[in-house]
Amino acid sequence: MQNTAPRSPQPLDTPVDVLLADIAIRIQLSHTDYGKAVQRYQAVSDWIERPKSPLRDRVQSLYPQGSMATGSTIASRLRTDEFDIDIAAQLDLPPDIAPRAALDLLYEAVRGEPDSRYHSMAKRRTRCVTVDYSDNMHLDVTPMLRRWGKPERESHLYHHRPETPQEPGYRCIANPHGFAEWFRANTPLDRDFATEFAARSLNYERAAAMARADSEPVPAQTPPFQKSRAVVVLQLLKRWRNVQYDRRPGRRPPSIMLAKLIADNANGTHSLSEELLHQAKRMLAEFQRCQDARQPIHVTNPVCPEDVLTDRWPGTLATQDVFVRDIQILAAKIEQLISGRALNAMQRILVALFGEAPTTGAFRAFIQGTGDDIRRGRSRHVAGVGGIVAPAIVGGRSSSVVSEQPTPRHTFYGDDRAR
Amino acid sequence: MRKLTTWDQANSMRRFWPEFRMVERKHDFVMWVGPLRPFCQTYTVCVTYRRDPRRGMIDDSLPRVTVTDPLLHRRDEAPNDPIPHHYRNSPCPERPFLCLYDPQTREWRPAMSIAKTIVPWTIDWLACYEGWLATGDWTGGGRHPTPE
Repeated sequence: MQNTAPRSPQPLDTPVDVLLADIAIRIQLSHTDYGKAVQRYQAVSDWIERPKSPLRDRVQSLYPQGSMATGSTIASRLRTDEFDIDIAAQLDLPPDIAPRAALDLLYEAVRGEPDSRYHSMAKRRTRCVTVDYSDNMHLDVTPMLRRWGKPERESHLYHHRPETPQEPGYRCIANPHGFAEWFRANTPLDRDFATEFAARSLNYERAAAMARADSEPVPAQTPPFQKSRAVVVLQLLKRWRNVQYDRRPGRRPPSIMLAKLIADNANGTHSLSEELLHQAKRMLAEFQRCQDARQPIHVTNPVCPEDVLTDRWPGTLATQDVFVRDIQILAAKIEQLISGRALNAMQRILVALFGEAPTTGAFRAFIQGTGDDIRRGRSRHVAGVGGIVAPAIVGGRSSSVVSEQPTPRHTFYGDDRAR
Repeated sequence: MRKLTTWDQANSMRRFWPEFRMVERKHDFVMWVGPLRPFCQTYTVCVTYRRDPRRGMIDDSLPRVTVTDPLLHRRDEAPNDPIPHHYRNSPCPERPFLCLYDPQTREWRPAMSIAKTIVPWTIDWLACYEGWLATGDWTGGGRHPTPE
């Protein structure tokens, strides 16, 4: 009979869950960068309202949208810590303004005069204006025109490719604010998990800051870092998507579509690994249904049906089929992880899913923590029922599990050369 | 303190590790086989103990632990690097003895319960072994009797 570690009420009580959480922590926007992003979009807001700005007195509000509003921002590149921060700029524009004019107006307002602060940092994109910072943070500011008489913050956004200025572009209806509110309502916090995840995030950042001899203090725990399991799973699935599409041409499955599908099925489980598997299976079922019906998936914003979240992806069934196969592999690998593998096998699986750097970092920390406990005589085990608890997990626990026992201090000795 | 008898050791094992099976017991010798799971992988280990050393065999009375399934192996990435902290098991080289404690400082003595020491130390050893397989680093420390 195979023994099984007893389930305890801890929010992260298996090595798989600890490692998944620690990978998510290594790819997410840090407390420090979150604070920086907020300061920056407030500075951009003030800047585009400056006296000489073409948008003077026409900025109604700037607010976070996308991952910044759902607390799921992760690095946009695999090998560098680049973060894209999405901001909506609700502007007082003429109702009939052309898409090109709306985007150019915001571009002009952000860019400012030659030698002014954002002049060389601003870029005109198809739906937004991007401000590129030297530390690899990118602020994407999307001009929006509020649709009065409609639900709160339902707006028009504008689409015009700067590479083809002769084309008129178009505008479409969106409500990112309403979506974020719906998402948060559908992914409520499990207080114990959220507290544990936020504490681990903070510990990781403080250790990293100390290693860099960084004098900038890490801010105290803040609400955006209290996350539900579903939000952490969204971070992981976005990272997994980035890894799979790293060397593929064309568009990637949009983050907002992933967010919608996850929130539809959120928090149906009691552990991070189970939630990841649950979400992968539900997503696979949804895409398989579309594929069987020979239809590209069609996902809309639940608070604004005209806001089509899949308007630019997948486009074709062939593109969708590639993603279906990706999810099949994902689900199979998560099942392997949950079924029980040695650490080196788990590491290979997680590197394939989430990339080298965050996975190796999480494993090294986990293994070092385990070894530190053993060397210092602080390791623990579970006797009585025959289950084993990894020292690295026990070390992080705040409450005691009755069957956990301290392991007497000992010294590994000898090697094959001695005999 | 008095040496524990094999009967004492068997009772203690039954109490703390009920999934371990005592597969052999003689007057002064006992052998258990059972599962241990440091993280996610389950290992079958074999623990033997001879209470009284045989004539001329000084270390004979120390408890010995081998892993029977899955067999221990070297790292794929560095096949020339030996597994850390083990003793050769000449009759059965694929099942080396694990070096769990320092005999020179008498970290284990016959008055100690195998269930409370040797088995938890085996869990620690397996945890370090898995970490070593994954990264090449043995993080649990230890002492080598011979200089590098």
